[in-house]
Amino acid sequence: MLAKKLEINKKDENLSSKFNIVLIDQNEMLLDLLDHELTKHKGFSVIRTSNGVELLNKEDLEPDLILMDMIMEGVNGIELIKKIRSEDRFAKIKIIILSEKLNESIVEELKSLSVNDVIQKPANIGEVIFRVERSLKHQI
Amino acid sequence: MAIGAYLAVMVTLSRLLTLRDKKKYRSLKNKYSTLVFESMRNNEARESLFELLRVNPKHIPIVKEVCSDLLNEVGGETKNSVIEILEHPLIKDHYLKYFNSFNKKRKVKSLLYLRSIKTIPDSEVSRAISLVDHRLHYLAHASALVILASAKDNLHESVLIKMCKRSEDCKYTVVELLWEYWDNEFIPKEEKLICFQVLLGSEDISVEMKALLVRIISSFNEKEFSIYFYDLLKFLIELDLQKKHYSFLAALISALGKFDFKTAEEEIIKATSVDNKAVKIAAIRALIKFKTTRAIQELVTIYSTSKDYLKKEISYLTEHDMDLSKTIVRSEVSVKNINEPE
Repeated sequence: MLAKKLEINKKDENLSSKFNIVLIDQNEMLLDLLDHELTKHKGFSVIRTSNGVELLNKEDLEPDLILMDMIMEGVNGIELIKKIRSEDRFAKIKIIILSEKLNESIVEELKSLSVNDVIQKPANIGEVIFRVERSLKHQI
Repeated sequence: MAIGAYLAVMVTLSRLLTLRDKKKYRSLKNKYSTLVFESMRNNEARESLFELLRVNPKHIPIVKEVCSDLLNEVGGETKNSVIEILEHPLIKDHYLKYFNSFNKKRKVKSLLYLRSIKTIPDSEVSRAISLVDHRLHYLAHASALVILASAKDNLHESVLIKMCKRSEDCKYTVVELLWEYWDNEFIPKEEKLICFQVLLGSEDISVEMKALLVRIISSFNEKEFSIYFYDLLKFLIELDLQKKHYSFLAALISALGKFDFKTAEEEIIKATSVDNKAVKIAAIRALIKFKTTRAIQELVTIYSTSKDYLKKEISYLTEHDMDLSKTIVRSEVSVKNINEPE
């Protein structure tokens, strides 16, 4: 991990290729668009799923950031974040919420679960990408 | 035996063909999705997308579907880029041609396209208005959606009133119309508030429909509505009109409770004596939300004196709030002790 960070400090343009991002959303088209932007134009490595439980079941997966909706199959968004935070391998992972169902109390709850950023849908994709990059830069 | 075998072959064949078509459609959609995403970034990609569509006009609906799916999820500049693609003359002409078609399916497709780009060409406005009166509800509904999504603010109020009047048998279609209007970015919020006031004051709209309108409007979570809801509640209570308007009254009280509008406390307490279950329950819920001294006092009185279903409602609503629950039950015991003969 340290070696990864040092390399990034040396050459910032290589930043993207060093990070794995997991996308969780039920809207296939939005997943397609985010996947396209993050991989083709920014060079991130992206894993996509419509179901958060799959993420927990993949033991070899070590993402750097999760960009997720609050609504998904099988589990509620808050429950999933709690489960993610309870696992050691995900303890320092960055989480960004991209959701329509947001209000003050949900945002407060998300903050208490150490969520790094919250974006209201419908969102400008340029802004989403910017916030993803910003969160990952803070990790360095 | 032979017929059975023939049918089995035919069924298998048709399933295989459907699977093949679905697979082909998926791969085409993926291809066009990538082209649409690239078109949002650079003009060259956009040119090649439309060149491809010129050669294969049958693929226009696929691009329209990709763009419509995206519009539901994206905003800001991304949304504008998607709308720009949809407004390209090649796509626009394709769907406007459908608007003049006698085929109703095509007409609806055209209307849904216009709803996506949130524009009605001036030449089609009168036709869109006449469709709101069409005997087929789905055509009227689609046409109303187009008008409500557009910037034609002089038409919104009359279309909403018309649709509220004609939707008595399928009230819940009004939910989509009101949300479309509320999400209309061309219209300032103040104008929308005035339009909703006109709907709630209109004599052409039934009381049941007005109750539904209040429930929908309160789901927009816009607290500015509370003052108007409060005025309506006062009007109904002061003029003793509640008997004819139970559902409307219950909806108004629920909305005021939801907005935590404590100014309405006195009127809501008065409403607890209205002889209607829905109104009483709405009032109890609002008082529990307010949690003021006066509201708790009223809840204690209701708990100690009224029917079982109200007691159950209070117990159920306060079960997550131990302090409030204890206050109401303990006070009820003390009220009973005072009343018991020595």
